[in-house]
Amino acid sequence: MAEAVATLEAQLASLQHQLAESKARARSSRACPLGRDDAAIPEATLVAMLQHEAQSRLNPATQQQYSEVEAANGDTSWMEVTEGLQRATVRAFGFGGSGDLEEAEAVAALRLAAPRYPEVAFWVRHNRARRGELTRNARVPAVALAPLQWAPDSIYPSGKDTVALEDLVPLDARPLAVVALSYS
Amino acid sequence: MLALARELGTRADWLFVYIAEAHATDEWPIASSRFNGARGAVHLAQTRTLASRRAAAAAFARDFGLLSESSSSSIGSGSSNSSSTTMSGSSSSSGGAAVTVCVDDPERGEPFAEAFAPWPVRLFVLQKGKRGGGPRRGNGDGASLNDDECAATDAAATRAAAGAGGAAVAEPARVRFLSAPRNGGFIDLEPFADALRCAAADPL
Repeated sequence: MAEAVATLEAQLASLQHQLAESKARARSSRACPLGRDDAAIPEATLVAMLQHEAQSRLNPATQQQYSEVEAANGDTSWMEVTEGLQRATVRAFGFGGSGDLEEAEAVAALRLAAPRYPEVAFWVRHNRARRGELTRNARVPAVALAPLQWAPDSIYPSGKDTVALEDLVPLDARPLAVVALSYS
Repeated sequence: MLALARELGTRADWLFVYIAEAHATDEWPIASSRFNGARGAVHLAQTRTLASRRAAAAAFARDFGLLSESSSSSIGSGSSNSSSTTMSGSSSSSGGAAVTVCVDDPERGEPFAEAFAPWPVRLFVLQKGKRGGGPRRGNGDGASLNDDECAATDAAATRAAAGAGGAAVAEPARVRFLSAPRNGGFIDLEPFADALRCAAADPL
C-alpha cells in the first residue's frame, strides 16, 4: 500500500513538473511571437498593424518629427523616429503592456511581416536597395549616362544625348571617383 | 567629399550620377534636411522623366556647388572625354578636380542603377590601367589601406606585371572599389577615401 502511494505521489510530482514546463513554454510562446510560434500574432492583426504603421509614417506630425530630428544633424535620425512609431503601433494593438521584452518582440514580428505585404508597406515596396552583381576588379559595365548639360566646348556632338561611362574614366590611369546619389 | 576632392586635386576625376530619389514624397517620404543646410527638408517627387531628373540634378549641383559657372570646361588632366567643370571650393587653377554630373535616365530604364545597384547612395572608384597583371591595389571590402599597404600592393602588382612580360597594355576600366550597399544608417566615407587615395597615389 505504501509503495502504491509512493508511486502515485511520484507520478503526480512528474505530472506537476510536466504541467509547469508546459505552462512555461506557453508563456514563452506568447512572449516570443517569433521563431517557435510565429502565429502568436494573428496574420490579420499584423496586417492591421502594418496599415496603422503606414498611416503613422505618413502622418504630418511624424513627418515633422522626421524633419526636426534630421535638422538637428545629430546621432539620432529618422530611423529612431520610425522605431518609436513602430513601438507605438504594437502598443496600440495591445502588445507591450506587460514589459519591454514583449514590445520589442512584437515590433520584430511587425518588421518581419512588412516584406510579406509590400502593397501596404510602402517602405518595402519602394526600397530599391540591393547588393547587385558588381564586384571589385570587374570590368566597368557598358552604361550610357545622360549628361546634365553640355559644356559649350564639349567634344561630343550636340545631338548626342548620352555618354558612355567608360569614356569618363581617365585614360591616364587616374581614378574616377563615382558618387551615386539623389537630393533626398 | 569636397575636402577629399580638394585634397586630391587633379589626381582624380569625379563623376556624380544622379539616381532615383531615395525618399520621394510620392513613394517613401522622409522629410529630412540633414545634409541640406538652411534649405530645409527635401520634398521631391520621384523623377520619372529625363527632364525632371535633370532638373533635380541641376538643383542639387547648384545647391551643393558641384558646378562652377566660371569654368564650364574640363580643367583636369584633359585625358577624360567629359564635359566637366571645376569642383566648387577648390582652386580655380588647374589644381581643381574635374567634375562631371550625369543622370541615370529613367526613360532608358535606369541603366546605371541596373548595373551598379547604387540606390540610395553608393560610392565607386573606377580606373583604367596600363599594366597587365590584374588588380593593382585598393580594397573593396571596406577595410582601409595605409600607405605601406598601398605600396606593398603596388609592388606586388608591378612584379606580377613584370613576370607577365611587363607590357604596358591599356586595360579596360575596372571597378577598383565599391562601397557596401546601404540599407539604413550613414554611409562610411573612409573606405572610399582610402581606396581613392590609393588609386590616385601613383597612377599607372
